[in-house]
Amino acid sequence: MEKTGGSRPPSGLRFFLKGSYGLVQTFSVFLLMFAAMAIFLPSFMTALNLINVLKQLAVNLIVAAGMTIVILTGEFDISVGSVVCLTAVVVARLINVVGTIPAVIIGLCIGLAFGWLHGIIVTKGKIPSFITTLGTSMIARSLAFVVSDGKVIADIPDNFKVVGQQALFGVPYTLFFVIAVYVVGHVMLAYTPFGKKIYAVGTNRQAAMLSGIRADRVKIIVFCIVGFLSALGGILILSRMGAIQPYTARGLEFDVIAAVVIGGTSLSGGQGSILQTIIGIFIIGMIRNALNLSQINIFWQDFATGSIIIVAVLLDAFRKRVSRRME
Amino acid sequence: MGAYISCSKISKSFKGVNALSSVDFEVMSGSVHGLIGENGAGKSTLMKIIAGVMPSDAGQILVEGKPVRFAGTRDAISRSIVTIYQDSDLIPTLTVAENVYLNQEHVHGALPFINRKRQLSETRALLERFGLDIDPMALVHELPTDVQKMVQIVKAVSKDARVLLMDEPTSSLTASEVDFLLPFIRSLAARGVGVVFISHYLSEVFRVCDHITILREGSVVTSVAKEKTDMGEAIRAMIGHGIQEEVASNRIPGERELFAVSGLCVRRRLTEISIAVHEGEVLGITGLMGSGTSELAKALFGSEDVIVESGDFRLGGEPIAITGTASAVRHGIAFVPNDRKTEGLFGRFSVADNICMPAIDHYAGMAGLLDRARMGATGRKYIDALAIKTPGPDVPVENLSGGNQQKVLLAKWLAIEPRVLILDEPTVGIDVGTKFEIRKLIRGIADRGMAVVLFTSEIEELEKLCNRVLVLFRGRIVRSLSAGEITKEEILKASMGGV
Repeated sequence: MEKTGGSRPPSGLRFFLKGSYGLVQTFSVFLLMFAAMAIFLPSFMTALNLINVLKQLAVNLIVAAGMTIVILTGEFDISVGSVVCLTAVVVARLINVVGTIPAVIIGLCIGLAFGWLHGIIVTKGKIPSFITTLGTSMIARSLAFVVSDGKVIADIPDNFKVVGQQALFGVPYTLFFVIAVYVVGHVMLAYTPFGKKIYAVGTNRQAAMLSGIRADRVKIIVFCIVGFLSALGGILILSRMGAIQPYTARGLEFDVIAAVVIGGTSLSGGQGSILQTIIGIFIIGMIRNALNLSQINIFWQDFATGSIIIVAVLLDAFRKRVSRRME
Repeated sequence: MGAYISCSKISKSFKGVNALSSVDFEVMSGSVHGLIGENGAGKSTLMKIIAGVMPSDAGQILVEGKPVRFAGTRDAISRSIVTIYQDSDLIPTLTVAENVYLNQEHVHGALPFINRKRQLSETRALLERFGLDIDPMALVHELPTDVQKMVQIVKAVSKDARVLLMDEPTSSLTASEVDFLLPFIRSLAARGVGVVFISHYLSEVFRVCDHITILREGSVVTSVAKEKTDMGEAIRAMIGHGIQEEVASNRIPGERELFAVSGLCVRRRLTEISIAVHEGEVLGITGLMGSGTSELAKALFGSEDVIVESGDFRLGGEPIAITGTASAVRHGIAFVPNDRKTEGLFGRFSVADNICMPAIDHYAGMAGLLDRARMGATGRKYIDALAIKTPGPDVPVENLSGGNQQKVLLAKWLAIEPRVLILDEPTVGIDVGTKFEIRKLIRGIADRGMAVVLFTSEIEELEKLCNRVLVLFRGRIVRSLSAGEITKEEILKASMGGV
């Protein structure tokens, strides 16, 4: 059909099914699940449980913010789990040698270095990010084993554990980091020229280049952001657990990518937001928590998460088809 | 011969807007039926209904006199109605023969292995039957665009098509390629195939068609034998009124050289290109597809799609270095690429966002946040200045019609207030009315003192707009024509390789 100049404001069903209102739909799914759990699982709606869930999800939330941004440019970073772990291991190793602040700074630099490397390999070497980060993921994980010598490192000073384990007015310190990351991230994406460039590069890289946008530079910066956030996640994990072993955060990348997808961010880039990802993380976290509380065999957890990913993507594809038909 | 397809009182509406109202349309075997109208007139909708892509809301389709209902494209194909879409449906990495027999492969008897030999020989026979000298073993992406188009048609015909629906088959072809394709279409008709030919290029419609139907706002305004009408009448019927195209400028371009390049070489594409544009000048550059025009356009803008080996750029007499698109933009050089969908616009972005994109950093206000109000104002300013038809600056640009999208693309670059504007095929695939508007805009831009480099394969555009025309042939400038010499004959002679 041929499009005419006009487009009418969406209404009713059309509004709900239109692709660009992903936030509304994912949020309604989240609310439904939350209500169901509050009704059927009495132990769910306790302050202790909710705070616990939040604490456990903090690192996933931080890493997922970075993952969303990188996926918005049409790229992937599957090295996040390994970078989280490597950072934590290195910081744990150095903290008693160089002191807390220098160790943390070095840790963050490791994340940035990996991000920068990913950006360079992907943009200048023209290697798909999936392959690039698969490689560096193995490298980072291996380094984590080398640095820790394959053992648990538990010798962490108490002052370092404050951030991960204590709370201010009942709100865990870690949550302040999460809030900061999401506020800064959302403002950057939605309200700054750089945010616009991220969407532009993800929507149509060629058009972005021909608009004078340095697409390569945007991607390198975005990889640095996700690297930095992974490192921050690693530091917070170490602080919360007070000990670290080189298997930590294995498979984190898949939980995080799953959350981004469930949130409704398009894997082909250019569409989505980090606010949707928060909901994706909560949906996965809630299911895990529900299965824990209802004492179902823990081995079913990934089964449930996997099924939800498939359902979410199917729903999204269905919605896109319907909304295209309504055009 | 009788009508193979006969549609009566076809109506279709989208979201309450009538796309087609009570349209009658017939396709005769052995005849080429031109279907023309502005964008949004309903041509494509009618095609899609006949091809089974979508059902009509009301009306009836008869095939060979019997009423039919198409539930999908398969139903139409089973009635030998085959569509050739504007975009190629060939798989570039497969050979011609593999493409022709895609999804209808010849196999060895009961064994599920492809009989390559038989496919090759039958494809060869098919190609010969149509007098085409194409190697059936050639990979499609290695063939020139016009040849690809013909392979696409041969593939369609190999399905024993009785009716071919062609949507803008010539939009990606150059003048000489069209000269090759149109007789081919006539030869199909001579074999008894009924052809529906949709095109914005009226001269081609008049060359190839027997019968012409003109749609306007979803209704048939005229349906006559070609001999009974002419182009002027057709244009009036399409847009509902006459147009006076008065774009040529009396203004003599300034003496001052604004933008120049000398000794530009692009790997394997361009050799020793030197051009200079003056303020107020429209410099036309033309050539056959493959002559290097689009590479030159991209090289001038510093795009990484081409590998520049040497070349000295000057802007306002001063030497400059163009190291990438970003540096070109910083120097005030703007580039309107030819493919607005893949290279020009961000479909889901709003009109205002698209217009502000090249200078997006300048819209950062307090604390580095985007100043939405200012972006909206810029959007509205250019919507008014270019008469872009849109409900507002916040509407996604993909909701606009092709012609209006093209205006947004132009606006996006005018918004950086460039000194040099490079345009690559700015009026391809848009309706006549908008085409004239855009040409007028381009002329106006030059008259305000900007230097315009216009890459186009439309000779009419060169004649009407340009102060000077350069003709490229195999990566070299073979001819420079000044105002009085810009004629169709000269341009064709030079672009075919004659000097």
